[in-house]
Amino acid sequence: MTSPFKTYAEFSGAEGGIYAFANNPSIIMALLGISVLLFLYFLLFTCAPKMMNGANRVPPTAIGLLIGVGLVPILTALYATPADAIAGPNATMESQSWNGMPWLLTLTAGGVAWHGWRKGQRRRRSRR
Amino acid sequence: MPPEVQELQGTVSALGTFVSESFYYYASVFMLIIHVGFLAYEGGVSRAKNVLATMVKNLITLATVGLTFFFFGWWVYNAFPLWPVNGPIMGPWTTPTEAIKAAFAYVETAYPWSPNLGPNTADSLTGVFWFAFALFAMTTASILSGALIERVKLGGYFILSIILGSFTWVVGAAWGWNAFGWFLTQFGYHDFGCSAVVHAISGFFTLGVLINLGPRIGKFDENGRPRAILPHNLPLTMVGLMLIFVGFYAFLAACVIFLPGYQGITSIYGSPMTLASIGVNTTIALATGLMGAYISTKADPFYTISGGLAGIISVSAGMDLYHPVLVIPIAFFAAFTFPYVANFIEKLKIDDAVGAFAVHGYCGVVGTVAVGLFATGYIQADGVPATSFIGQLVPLLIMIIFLGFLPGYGVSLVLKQLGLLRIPDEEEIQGLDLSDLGVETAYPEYSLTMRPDLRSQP
Repeated sequence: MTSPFKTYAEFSGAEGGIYAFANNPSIIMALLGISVLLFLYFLLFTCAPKMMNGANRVPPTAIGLLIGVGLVPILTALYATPADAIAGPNATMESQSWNGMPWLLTLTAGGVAWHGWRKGQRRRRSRR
Repeated sequence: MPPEVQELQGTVSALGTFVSESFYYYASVFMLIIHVGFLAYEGGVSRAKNVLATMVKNLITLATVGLTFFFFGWWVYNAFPLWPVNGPIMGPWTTPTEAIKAAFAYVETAYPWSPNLGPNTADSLTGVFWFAFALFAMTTASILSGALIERVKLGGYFILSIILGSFTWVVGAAWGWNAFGWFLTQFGYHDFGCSAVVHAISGFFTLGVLINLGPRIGKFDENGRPRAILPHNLPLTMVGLMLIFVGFYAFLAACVIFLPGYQGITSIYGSPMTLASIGVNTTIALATGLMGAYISTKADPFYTISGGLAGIISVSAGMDLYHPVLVIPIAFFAAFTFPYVANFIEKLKIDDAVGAFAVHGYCGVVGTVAVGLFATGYIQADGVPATSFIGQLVPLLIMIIFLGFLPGYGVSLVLKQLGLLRIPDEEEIQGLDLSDLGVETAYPEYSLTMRPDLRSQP
């Protein structure tokens, strides 16, 4: 259930956010991440139309993969343990330290996507 | 109670009534801009030989639907919410029982002879709600209008516009866009901005009609491959769509309920909401829709601007419950994919001149289903089921099949058999401006400049 309310009385008398996922800020952040990625894709499309449309265009699978891996850190945040989420100012240095694993995953997957695209390019060139 | 307090209460009550009356009055006036937009949009899409007939056809929709909505459409909206599950179709023949008393009170105000629809100092609101609903009805019928251009018979179209604009969508609204409607009471259905009630019903009705109407002459070659029939004035079409966007802000604002004595505004289901969220989400959906269609069609001007509408329609059903960051992916998905639906329809040799099915039918479905995916668990009244995927899907299927596709297909088939659906081939080739209106050209000066012997004349 995406509603933050369990009953009609709660919903009708609500003071504050009544939108879906209002009780789950991490999902709102994930959706914001998706939205930003879509917009960046749009900018890339308008700024580099040849790359997006021409013979050397980036394959849609690579774009999809890039967007997908971009979501990794956001999705990781979604499944963070409640302890992590409420650590707050009293958290230890260890728990507050930057978790680089999702970003490493992102870079690795992004690299794979890029490599795939370059490989496709080379294949196309060799055919000419 | 002291007389001063009584006087103050009276003043507050009168002010509340005036605020409600003014809100719906001006929202409805701005909704008329949708029709200015449809007029320009369809006129621009048609070829020069059909432009005036196309625009007159659209214009007369206001007359056919406006009057029939007064004669019976408004009554249908108030009479059908309980039928066939929770009660009868209510009318002058009904003896109100305790169970239907609350709903029946509205029925009595909806007859065309009702004193509530005339100047009546005891009721300032029924008339202004009629006004808003009549504009909704005209919008619904206008969606059909664009798809049929350049070959439909005016009389046949007017009959179809009445059936769609003053009956089938109104039944959908009674069931799914009404606090007494059985879609709400049985399924917890939620469709704030009419994704299905207006758009999906009209889109599927249009599809049914298009199958019987057939394509314009020359739309498909001898091998069945589609040919582009280009708009005679694409800039006019684009301006028309911009006007439709403006009108849609008013359309969605008019979906809000604020009555005298209310502590806040609600959706038509009685659930809390804010007008601000409609402003934010409509703008975000418009922006995202333009972006999605721009990418999807590689900047095709017609589809790009239609993408704005696709974006809005795809989030209309739940925009009172969505955060803007949820609006973006939904609107993007709908706007990115609807051109593929339009192309698919064309591959089936169905000539939808303005992509009405893809924009309204398909995106209306996306919008309705999206509530069942992203806004579940909302209980909109005591004793009513929470919003759910099934609660969205079942009413949606009922609407698009029984109030959309089947009536559109069935009535147009009858009209076809009677020879009332399509104009003769020679008239189509000649152009409707001449055959329907007796006007040789909508652009006489432009025609003169095309004749070499007259070019030198002042």
